[in-house]
Amino acid sequence: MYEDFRGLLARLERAGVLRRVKRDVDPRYFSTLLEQARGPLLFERVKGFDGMAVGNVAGNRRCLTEGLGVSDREVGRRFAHAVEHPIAPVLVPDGPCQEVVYTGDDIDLTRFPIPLISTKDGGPYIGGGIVVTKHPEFGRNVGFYRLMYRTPRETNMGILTHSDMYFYYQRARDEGRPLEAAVAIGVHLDEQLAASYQAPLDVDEFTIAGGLRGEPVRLVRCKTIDVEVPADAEIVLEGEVLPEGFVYDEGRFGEWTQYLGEVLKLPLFRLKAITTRRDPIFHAFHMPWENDWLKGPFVEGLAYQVLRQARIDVKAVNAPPGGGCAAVLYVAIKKHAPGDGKDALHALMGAIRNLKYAVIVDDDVDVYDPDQVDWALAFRVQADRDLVVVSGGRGTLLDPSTRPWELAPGQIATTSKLGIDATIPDRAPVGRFERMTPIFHHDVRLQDYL
Amino acid sequence: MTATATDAVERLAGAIERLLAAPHFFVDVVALAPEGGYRDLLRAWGRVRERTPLARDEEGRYVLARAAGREAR
Repeated sequence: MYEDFRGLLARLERAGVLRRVKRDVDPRYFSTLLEQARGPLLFERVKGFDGMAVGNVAGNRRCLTEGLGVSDREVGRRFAHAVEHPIAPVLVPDGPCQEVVYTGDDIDLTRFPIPLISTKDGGPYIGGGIVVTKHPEFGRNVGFYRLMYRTPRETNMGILTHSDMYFYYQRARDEGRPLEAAVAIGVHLDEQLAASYQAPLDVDEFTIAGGLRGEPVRLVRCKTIDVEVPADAEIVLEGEVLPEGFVYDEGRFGEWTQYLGEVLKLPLFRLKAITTRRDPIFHAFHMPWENDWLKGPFVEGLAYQVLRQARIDVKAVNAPPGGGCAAVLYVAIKKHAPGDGKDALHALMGAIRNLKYAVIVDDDVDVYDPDQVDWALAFRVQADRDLVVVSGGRGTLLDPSTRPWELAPGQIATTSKLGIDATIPDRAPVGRFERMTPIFHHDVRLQDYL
Repeated sequence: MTATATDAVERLAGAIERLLAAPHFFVDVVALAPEGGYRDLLRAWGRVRERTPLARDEEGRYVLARAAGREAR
């Protein structure tokens, strides 16, 4: 059955992943409560607002495994399969996201409890909206772009350089026109994961969402602009990114690296309509965890794809939250020939842009258990023989270890990358790395004796 | 909005403008609104944004542009 955002929330609740907050909550406390919960919270009663709000919908790994209906090991494989087997969306005549339509003087973003997330953020942020735009040549683009609240009908549009939307926006500016954009808030995890994917320019991310769903995403045409959005979204903001360019102050903003960014100059997004369900649930996106966990499946999926192409027998991949689910990878492989561990490191560090630190272990090590990875690092690694360091890779200014203050304005940061081959050394004598096991450990269970 | 609610928003907008005679973070602006008054705060912030040029200092704090001695958008 086609599942919407509410269906996902209900399923997460049944699995014990989502918890309800029944007391009145002022939106200023959303962020700290979500930070303490480290998982989804549904705020049933929001002080001063109609309707419910939910945050941390993708706030931990269980949200992904339950949401996708897969095991830890299958998260990345599932995403890679969707990329390789996309399904085009379908246009439907109407949908719940347009049950209520606000235009003209009724456009008012203060209907929604837009939260201030971190202490020095420049304002309240809508982070949970997937932004849909179109390009005459390359078609539809779907991505996450943050919106800093400014007035009841205006936000900044978080178009950062090197994103697809930056390219779409520059084309519109060159033609002296605004860029039409729709922001769909409260969409299914499949659509959120697809929007997090850095797809090639001519790939419609809704086709990846279809690949995840196993059926087409249902879209409706917006009321005031020529853009399509998920028919079952909770809220849709329709509007235009004004062509004036990067002139409106934005930020600071607590980023995926857990550091605060600087004040930026970004474009302005002016609303032409707001459409909603009759009783919309607002998605109060929580940084950095939702941002980070949404990247995990894409990064893990890319690792599976890259390693398969490098003819490495990959068994499991974990992009842990300590690295923003992108900068750190633990990968288990089955070695078939000397050099597989080092080859795996080179393949990963060349292909995954934000990756800074990768550890390759044998497939007897559980990459989802940090103690086991530490054990492999401690007892299978010699630092002078098993490290690979790559210098001068593409970095991000959001990572202050790249020393951005040493760069000229506009210069792109570079980064070094560390790989550790924590597999059993090639040509090790048989028995030297044989692990101890408790006697009769397959035959006796503690619970039978308690 | 009722007339009373409009008055409350205007009072809050005035308080924000007085606060921003010196640099402050947005979280300090939030603290001006009582619990339960977050929606009025969003409205008041919008009103200030529409009518009062604001500048940002090197830490990202807001300040009235005229107090900072420069224009901002």
